[in-house]
Amino acid sequence: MTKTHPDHIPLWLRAGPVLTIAILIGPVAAGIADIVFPAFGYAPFLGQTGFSFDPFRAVLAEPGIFASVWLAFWIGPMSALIALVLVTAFTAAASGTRLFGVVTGLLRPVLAVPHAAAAFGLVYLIAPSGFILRLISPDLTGFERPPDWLIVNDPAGFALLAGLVLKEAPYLFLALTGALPQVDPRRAEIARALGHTRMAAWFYAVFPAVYRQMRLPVLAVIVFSSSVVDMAMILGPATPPLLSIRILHWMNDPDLSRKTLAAAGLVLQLGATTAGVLVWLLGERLVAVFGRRLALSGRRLMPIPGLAFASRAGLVAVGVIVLAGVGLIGLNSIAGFWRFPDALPNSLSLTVWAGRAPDLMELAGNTLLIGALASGVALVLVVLCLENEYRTGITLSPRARLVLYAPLLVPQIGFLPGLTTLLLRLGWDSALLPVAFSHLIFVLPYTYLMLADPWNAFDTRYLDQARVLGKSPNRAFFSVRLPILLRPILTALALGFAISVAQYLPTLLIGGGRVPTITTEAVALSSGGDRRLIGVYGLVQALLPFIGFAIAAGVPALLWRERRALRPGAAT
Amino acid sequence: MSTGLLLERFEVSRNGQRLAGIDAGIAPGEVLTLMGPSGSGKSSLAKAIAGFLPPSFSAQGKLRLDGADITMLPPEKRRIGMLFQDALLFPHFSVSENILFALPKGGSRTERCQRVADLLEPVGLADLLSRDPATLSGGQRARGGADAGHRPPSRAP
Repeated sequence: MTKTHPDHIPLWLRAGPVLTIAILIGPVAAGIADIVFPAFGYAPFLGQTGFSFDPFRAVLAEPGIFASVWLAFWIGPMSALIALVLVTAFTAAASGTRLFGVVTGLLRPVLAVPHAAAAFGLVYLIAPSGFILRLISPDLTGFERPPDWLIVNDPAGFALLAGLVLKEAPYLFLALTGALPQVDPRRAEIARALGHTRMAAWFYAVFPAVYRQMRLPVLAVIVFSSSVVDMAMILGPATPPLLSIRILHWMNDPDLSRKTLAAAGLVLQLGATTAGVLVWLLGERLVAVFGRRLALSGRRLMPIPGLAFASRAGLVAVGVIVLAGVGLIGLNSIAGFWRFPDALPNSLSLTVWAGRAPDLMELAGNTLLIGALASGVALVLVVLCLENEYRTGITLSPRARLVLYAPLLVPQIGFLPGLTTLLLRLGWDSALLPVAFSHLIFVLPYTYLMLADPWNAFDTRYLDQARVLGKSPNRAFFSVRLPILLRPILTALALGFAISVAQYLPTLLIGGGRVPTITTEAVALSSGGDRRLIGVYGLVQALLPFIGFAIAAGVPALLWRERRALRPGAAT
Repeated sequence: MSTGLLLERFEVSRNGQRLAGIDAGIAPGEVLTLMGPSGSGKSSLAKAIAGFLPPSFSAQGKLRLDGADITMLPPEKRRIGMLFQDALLFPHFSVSENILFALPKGGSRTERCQRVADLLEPVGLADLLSRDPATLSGGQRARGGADAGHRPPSRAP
């Protein structure tokens, strides 16, 4: 039997998947291994080599530890549930309408707003001295001075919950809109023809298929929320704070014996996160069983007045709140004298901006450099992986997708400390490169997920055509595939850059506090309470990701301005 | 040494099942037409001749071009052109860039551009050189595509 010309796959192409898998799994595994031993009392650096439960006893004796662990447990599944309900209810009520397209456009910039900036925006909106109370005071409330309410940093963690939902809903919406085209839209029409309401039809006929695709993103959201650091510092309860923040304090404690405490805390964190995920998985089962029973009972649910409207309004509100928050950040940065019940400042001034300009330049420079490195390397690796998949004909199995999500399914605080000590041992300490490397771990999965669909949708006959014209596979790759896919490639790059800009914990830990970025500085300012200063740093942080997206939209528009088939929306 | 394309009991199979086969010689200037119902393997056979075979397919037999065995050569070394049903012009190149991309190596930039103009003149596309291929009519696309697609690299002397 004659096999046709097995294409030779060059080494640089083969290296792509190997390196990618190593970067996705290596740091996570090494980081976790590093905390397990000290947690059980094996800490050679303290002269302790025996096995014991002492660190756990110590950590459980910490004041308020149960509140910290309890919050880490419930906030993950709860924020994911609210975000998922917002996103699916909206889609059930609005898919196929003009509003759906409008909201898709509205949430895209929201997705690019870093967590810290979104949190600051929320503070400026809902705090006792925030914009909402200013608008209705004193007419409706009678307040002449901000009330003594603990809205932000409330002990129950509701402000943190709200902040997390604001960031997670747009992300889950992106995951949903990515999965939607793979489901036949006639499913919902048939269910409606069978007498179900618009929303019930969507949930019965479309949701199960879509949710299957959204599962890993949802789990990633649960894990992220249960161990978030930057948002919890800005919005979360203070006494006691979320477990992840306490771990960070123990780790940074100059008293080395606190290290085993931190390690035991990390194990508690992993336990709380895992418990949250397990509760979610149990909930999935229950919804499946009862949803099926309800569907098969033949009952037609009555339309509930106002439900469709509320469903539409919910997700719109998410987008409006975040964008209004960014606007308020900007307003605060230039506000002069701003007495409480006044809705707007008396005067505007650029003094803070001018005074901080040199500092901002340096921070923005660091942020840009790290972001460019992380997103650039991630893009190269992802492109190599995808091209390798195409040439070998091997596609990603569901299990391989799990590898892709590995860094997102383990709490950052769970493996980054271990990775820090590992890098220190390798002599790679606190400089820009290790920080960029740590960002790469989190940028890689998103870059891949963003680029895989357009890459696989590419009409490969263009490549065949190039080969027939005498071009090698590599030549076809560089002069046909890459230019035609320029737009999605740059979009994936911009997303990676946005992810990097938003990273707080990796920058802080891996950089050892010596690589300041706009994000670490903005979060550090949050405890100080200078709203103008926070406004300046917060606005720069919120706007930096947009530079990437603007380039990603502008370059192809300029380059391909006379190529109609390559405009956004045109099928390639 | 025989000239032209020789297909020696050339067959394609899918998952071990024989789809279509051909045993014929095509002399220079000759045209061979392949007819059959849909799904009978015409396109797969054509793709196999050009050097593209989807993973679940396999090919048997030999392909000779001007006496040389090209069965194991990669598509770009076969000097066999292929024209898709809907003329496939690269969307990121202009009409003339499409032809320039297709022309074999050699010649200065002006010479190459002159060749492009010479090629497009007889098919009435000479004044469309800098056009976006997406703005061409179906017929214009087909002629442009034929010009681009029908020019495999020149034979070695």
